[in-house]
Amino acid sequence: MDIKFTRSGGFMGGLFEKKISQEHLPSDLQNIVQNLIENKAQYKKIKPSEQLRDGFVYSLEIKKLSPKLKLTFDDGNLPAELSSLVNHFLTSE
Amino acid sequence: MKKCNCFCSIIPPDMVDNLKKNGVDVGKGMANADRGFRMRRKLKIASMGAIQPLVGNANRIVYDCQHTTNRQLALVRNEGAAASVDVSVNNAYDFAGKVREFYRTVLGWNSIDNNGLDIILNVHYSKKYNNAFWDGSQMTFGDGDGVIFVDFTKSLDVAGHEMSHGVVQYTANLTYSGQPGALNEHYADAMGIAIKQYALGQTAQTSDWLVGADIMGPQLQGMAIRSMKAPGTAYNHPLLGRDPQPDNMANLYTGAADNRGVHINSGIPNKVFYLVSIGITTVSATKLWFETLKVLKPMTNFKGFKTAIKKMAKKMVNAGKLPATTIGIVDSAFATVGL
Repeated sequence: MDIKFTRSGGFMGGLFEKKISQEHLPSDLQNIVQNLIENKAQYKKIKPSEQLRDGFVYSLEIKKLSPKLKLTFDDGNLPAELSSLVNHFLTSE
Repeated sequence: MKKCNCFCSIIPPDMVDNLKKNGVDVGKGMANADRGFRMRRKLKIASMGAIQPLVGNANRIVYDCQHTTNRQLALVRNEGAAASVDVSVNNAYDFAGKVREFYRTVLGWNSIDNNGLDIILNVHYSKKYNNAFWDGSQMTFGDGDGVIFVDFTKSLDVAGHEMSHGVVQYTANLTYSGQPGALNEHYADAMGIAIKQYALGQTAQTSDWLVGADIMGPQLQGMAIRSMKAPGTAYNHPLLGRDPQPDNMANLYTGAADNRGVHINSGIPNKVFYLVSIGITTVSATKLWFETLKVLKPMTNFKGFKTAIKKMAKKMVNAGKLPATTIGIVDSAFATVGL
């Protein structure tokens, strides 16, 4: 199952994209993704930070789910339990 | 869609949806307009002495995120406390002091909200975090990855930029999308560079007019994030791509990325500010810009901004607050960028 990660915005206003298969993630991050899928309704309720300026906007898209799951967070509302997953997308080769 | 030459070259359609999701709809714009009106009314009433609002002390409060994404995690320095052993803590504290001083001394504005709001600063956010941001109530700084960027607390103009987003929120509250969003970014850049010049004793003629030059990584020395003097020339390197900022309306970015180009199209008003500063000094230009900010609306676009600046320039010239040459210099600067 492919996970597409996108980061946009920031002080510079750039865009970063990466796609990784769930099975290629470390096991702890696979668990985070599984939790994300199981609790998608809760994560979908998170609203964009209205006054965020220069913050990054993160999007995680899980493609082979039906319907397709796409969740969007930003630096003002990123759940702490997702920060290691975001960092993995940003730093892995 | 025009090509974006920042980190990316392709912006997929689903990203467009994502950006739209993070934009501001008409309903929200109306709510912002109402909020701005109420805020201006409150300031006017307060200035007339009709009420005595509670005024804060504009204290600086620095927290260490300890490389997590938890803000206000560990209090490390409060107003008046001794310096820390942590350079980032001291940078954030000292630069916030310089920003606060500039707003108070030059612009007669008390902290972020003109009501002495405490200045909350978070340092060491996340790991190798290449950014700094304002979230509506506080500032947050990353350490950089050491390759593209270094510690974001090292730059006074970045500190001024982020705190000025707060000031914009409490004044015009410019919507963060399209041209109003580019004006929001422009004001943050203009105030940031004006604060740096003031603190370093520079003039419009001696300043480098570069935003973020102090936080560029080792391979990017001499470059910056934006150039207000020559938008589009701040960087050109394989690590970063090429600076996409236009300096003229003929090259206005009309795509969906970056909240419809808030960090891209800010190059156009940035150039205007540079030209006016060269003509009447940066301090005078900053006063003109700031008085105008107080009357802008959340949805003001570039044309509306030009009209407002010209109107304010006439008012301030007539009041003897700006030189008579200001009006011609402003006209010429806007004409140079195609406005």
